[in-house]
Amino acid sequence: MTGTNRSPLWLTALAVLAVAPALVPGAATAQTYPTRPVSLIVPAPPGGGTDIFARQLAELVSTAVGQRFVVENRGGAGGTLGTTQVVAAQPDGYTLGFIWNSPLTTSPHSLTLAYTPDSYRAVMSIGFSSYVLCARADFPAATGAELVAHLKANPSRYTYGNDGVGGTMRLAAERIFRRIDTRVRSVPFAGAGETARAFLGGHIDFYGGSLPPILPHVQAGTAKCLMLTSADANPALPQAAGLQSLGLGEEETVLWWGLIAPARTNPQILSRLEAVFTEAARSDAFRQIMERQGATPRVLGAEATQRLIRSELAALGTVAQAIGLQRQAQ
Amino acid sequence: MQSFSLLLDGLATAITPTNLLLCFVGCLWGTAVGVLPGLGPLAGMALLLPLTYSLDPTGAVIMLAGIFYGAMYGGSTTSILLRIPGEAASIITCIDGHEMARRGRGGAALTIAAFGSFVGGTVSILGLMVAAPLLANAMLAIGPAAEAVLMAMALLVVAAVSSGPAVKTLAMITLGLVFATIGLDQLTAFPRFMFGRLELAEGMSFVALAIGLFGVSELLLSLDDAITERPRTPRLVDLLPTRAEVREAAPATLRGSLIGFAFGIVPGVSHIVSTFASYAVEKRLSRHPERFGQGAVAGLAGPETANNATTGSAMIPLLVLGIPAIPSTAILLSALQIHGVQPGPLMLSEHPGVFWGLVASMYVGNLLLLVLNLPLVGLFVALLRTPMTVLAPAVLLICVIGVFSVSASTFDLWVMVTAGAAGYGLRKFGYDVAPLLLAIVLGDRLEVSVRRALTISDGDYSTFVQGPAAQVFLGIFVLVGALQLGARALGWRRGG
Amino acid sequence: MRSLHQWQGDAAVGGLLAAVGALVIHLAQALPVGTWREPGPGAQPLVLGVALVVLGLLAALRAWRVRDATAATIGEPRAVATLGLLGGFVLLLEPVGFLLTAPAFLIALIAALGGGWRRAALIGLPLGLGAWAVFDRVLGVPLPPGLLPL
Repeated sequence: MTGTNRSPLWLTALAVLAVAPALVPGAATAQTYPTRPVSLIVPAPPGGGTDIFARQLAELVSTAVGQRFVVENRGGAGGTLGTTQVVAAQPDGYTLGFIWNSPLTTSPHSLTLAYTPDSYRAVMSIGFSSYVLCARADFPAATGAELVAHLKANPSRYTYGNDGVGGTMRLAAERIFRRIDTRVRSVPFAGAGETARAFLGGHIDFYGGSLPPILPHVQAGTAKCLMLTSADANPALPQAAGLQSLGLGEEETVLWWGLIAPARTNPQILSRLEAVFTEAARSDAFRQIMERQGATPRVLGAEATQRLIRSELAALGTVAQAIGLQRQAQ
Repeated sequence: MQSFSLLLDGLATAITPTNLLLCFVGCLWGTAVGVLPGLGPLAGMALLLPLTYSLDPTGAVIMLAGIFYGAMYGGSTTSILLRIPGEAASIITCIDGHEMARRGRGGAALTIAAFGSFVGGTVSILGLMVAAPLLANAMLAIGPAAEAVLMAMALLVVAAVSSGPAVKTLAMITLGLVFATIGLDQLTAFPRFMFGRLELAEGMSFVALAIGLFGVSELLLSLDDAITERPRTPRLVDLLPTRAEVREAAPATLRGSLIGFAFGIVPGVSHIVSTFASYAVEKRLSRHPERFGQGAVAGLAGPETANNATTGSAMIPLLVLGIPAIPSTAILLSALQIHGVQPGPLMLSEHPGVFWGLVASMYVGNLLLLVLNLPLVGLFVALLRTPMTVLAPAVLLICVIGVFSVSASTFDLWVMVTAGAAGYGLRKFGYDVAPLLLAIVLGDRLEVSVRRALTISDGDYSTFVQGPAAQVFLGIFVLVGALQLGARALGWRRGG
Repeated sequence: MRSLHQWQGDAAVGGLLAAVGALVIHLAQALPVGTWREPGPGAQPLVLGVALVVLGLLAALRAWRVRDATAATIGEPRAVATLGLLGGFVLLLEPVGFLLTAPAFLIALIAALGGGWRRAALIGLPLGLGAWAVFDRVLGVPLPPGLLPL
C-alpha cells in the first residue's frame, strides 16, 4: 500500500522539479517581453495593402516598445502558407502574423489546411476595406437599387471579374447574388490589377475587387461604382450603395486586417501586444495611412476579432457550399 | 512642345543633389540585387521600401525605379558569365552571352549588354513620353482572348528559335506546359499535382526552377569532363568589343529597342516575351543564323536591349492607368500611394512634378548605370579567373541563398536541386532547357486566358479570332508564316 | 559513372518523357475534364499528357534512327559529389542552421573537387561566414539560425 501511495507523490515531485525551470523563465519572459527582435510575418508579397499596414505598424510599435518588429513577407497559396508558419511557430511571442481575413475565413473552404480558429489567437484588428462592384460609365443603372433590379431581370447575362475562387471578393459577391436570387458569370483573375485592366478594356462587364485600383477611374469618370460589400456607405464613393440601404445589411463581407499569434502564447504577452498595437493603430499617422489606401479604421480587440473570424468563417462556408466550391483532396 | 518644357522642369527636379543621390543609390542597389541570382528587382525594392517612407514622393519613386531598371541591367551579368539567369528576362541572354564568355569574349559581351541596356532604356523613356496614352489603350484592348492567342504564338516562336531538333523542342515545351499546371487551378481552386504540398499551391517557384535548370546544371556539366573547356580569361583589351562585333550589335540593339518597347504592352510577361521575340527576329535576319547558340553577338545584343526597353513601357500601365502590369511596378504603386499620390488617368494633371521628375530621373539613371557598369565589367570578368574548384562551390552557395531568400522555404531548395539534376541529364543528351522554362512561364497564362475567354464568350470559340487585338496578332502571324513559306518555296531560305 | 552512346541517352530521355506523359494522364483522371464549352481543370493536363507521350516516343524513335554513336558518360564522380553535397547542405540547412552548414558545405565541396583540405579550409570558412554576415546582417535576408541562438 505504502509503496503504491508513495510512487505518485515521488513522481509529482519530479514533475514539478522538471517543469519549474521551464516555468520560471517563462514568467520572466512575459514580464520583460520583448527582449529580442520580433518577427512579424506577412503572408503576402511586398507591396500590397497588408504589407504597407504591417510595415507602418511595425515601425510605430518598434518605437513604442524599444525593440525591433521585423516584417517578413511569406507570400504564397493565398496567404495560407505564411499563416501556417505563424500557427506552427513557437508560442513565445517572437513570431506573430499580420494577416488579412482571407487565409482565415475563405481559404479553409477550398484548401485542406493545418489550422482552425483554435490554432491561433486573434490579438486585435485594425479596420476594413469594402469590396466594390463597378460598371463602366455607360451602364444602364445609376444607383445600387437600379443595379440590383437590372441584375435580377437579366440573370447570367453579365460577367464580373474577381480575385479568384479562393478569394474573398468572389464569395462576398456570390453571397449577395445568391440573396437577390440572380446569377452573374464569374471571371476570376490573378488580382485586382488584372481585373481592372480587363474591365477598363471592356472585356468584362463589372469590376469586382478592392477600391484603390478603380478609384482613379471613378474620379476620371470612366467607371462608376454602384455597390459596396460593406453594410455602410463609403464617403469616398458617394454613388455606391452600402448593403444596409439595399436591405442586404446582414450579407456584409469585407476585407479586414489584424494581428494573430500562435494559440498557446502567454496571455500576458498577448494583452501587452493588444495594448501596443491598438495604440499604434489608433494614432493619427496610421489612420491617415489607412485612409489613403481606401480603408476604414475600426480597431477591434482580441475578443471581438476572434468572434468576427468565427462568424465570417461560418457564413462564407454556407456560400461556398451553395456555389459548389468544395475542399478537394490535394 | 509643352511636354518638353515639363521634362526640363522634371530634369531640374531629378538633378537636385538629394534626388541624384537617391537615383544613384537605387541604381547601385539594383545592380547588386540583379547580379545576385534569386534576388531580383522585386526583393530589392521590397527591402528598401520602408526607407522611402521618410522621403518625399518624388524621391521615393526615383530611388525605387532606379532599383527596378538597375536590376534589369545587372541581371545580364551572371547570365553571361555563369549561365545563371539573374531574373526571368535574361534567360535568352544565357544562350549566346555565355557562349561568348566561353570563347573569351566575356568582357565584350558585358560591354555590349551594358550599351544595349542603355540604348533600350533611353528609347523606352522617349516612347513613354510620346506614346504613353496610345500604348495604354493598346494594352487595354488585349483581353483574355487576345492574350491566349498571343501566348500560343509566343510558344510557337519559342519552338521556332530553338536550335535543336523540332521534336525534342516540342517535347520540352509540352513538359513545361505540364509543369505550368501544377498548383491550385486559378479558375476552380481545384488542386492539381500538388501531392498534398501547400508549397505547390501557386506552382513551382520560378526562381528555383530557373537557377536549377540553368545554373546548377551548368556547373554540373562543367565539372563533368576531365578536359573542361574553361572560359578563357580575357586580357584588358578584350574587354572592348571588336569593330566587327560593334557592327553586328548596333542594328540588333536598335531593333531590340523597338521590339522591347512594343512588346511592353504584353500583360504580365512583357519583359520575357520581348527578349525571345527579339532573338527570333535577329536569328531570322542574320546572315549567319547557324551562329546562334554559338555566341552570336546579335543574339545577345537584341534581347538584352529589348528587356531593358520594356522597363519604360512597364511604367505606362502604372502611371497612366494606375494598374501595375508586373509585380515590380506594384511596389512602385504602393510607394506612391503611401505618399498620397494615386497614379492613374489624373496623375499627369494632379502630380505633374512626380511624373516628370520620375521620367527625367530615368534618363539620368540610365546614364549613371552605364558609367557604373562599364568599370565593373573588368571586375566581373576577373572573377572568372577563380579556379572552378572554388568558383563552383561559391556560386552554389549564392544560388542556395538566392532561392531561400524568395520564400524562406527548403522546399524550393529541393526544387532547385532536382531541377539541377534533371537539367544536367536533359542537356547532356541534347534537350534544350530554355523552351522548358519559357513554357512554364507562358503556359500558366495560356491556359487561364483560354478558359477565361471561353467563360466570357459563354463557350463560343470564335472569340479567339474576334476583336481587334486578336486579329492584329493573328494577321502578323499569318503574314510572317506566309512570307516564310513563300521564301522557302522560292529557295531563299538561308539555312538554320 | 556509366559510359554509353549519345543516342542511347537521347532515347532514354525520350522514353522517360513518354513515361511522365503517361503518369500525367493517369493523375489527370482524378480531375474534372469539363465540357468543350467550359473546359475544367483536367482538360489541359489530359491533352498535354497525351502530347507528351507521343512526342517522347517520337524523340526516342528519332534518336534510334539517327544513331549518334558519340561516346557519352553519365554520373561522373565530380558531378555526383557536387549534387550529393548540395543535397546534404539543403537537408541540414534548417535544422542545423546556415552559419554551421555553409562553411562545412564549402570546405567539403572544395576538397571533393580536388582543391585540397588546406585550401578548402582557408577559403571555405571565411567565405561561408562572410556570406552569412553580408546577407543575414547587412542585406537583411533572414537565413535559418538552426542550433545557434542568433
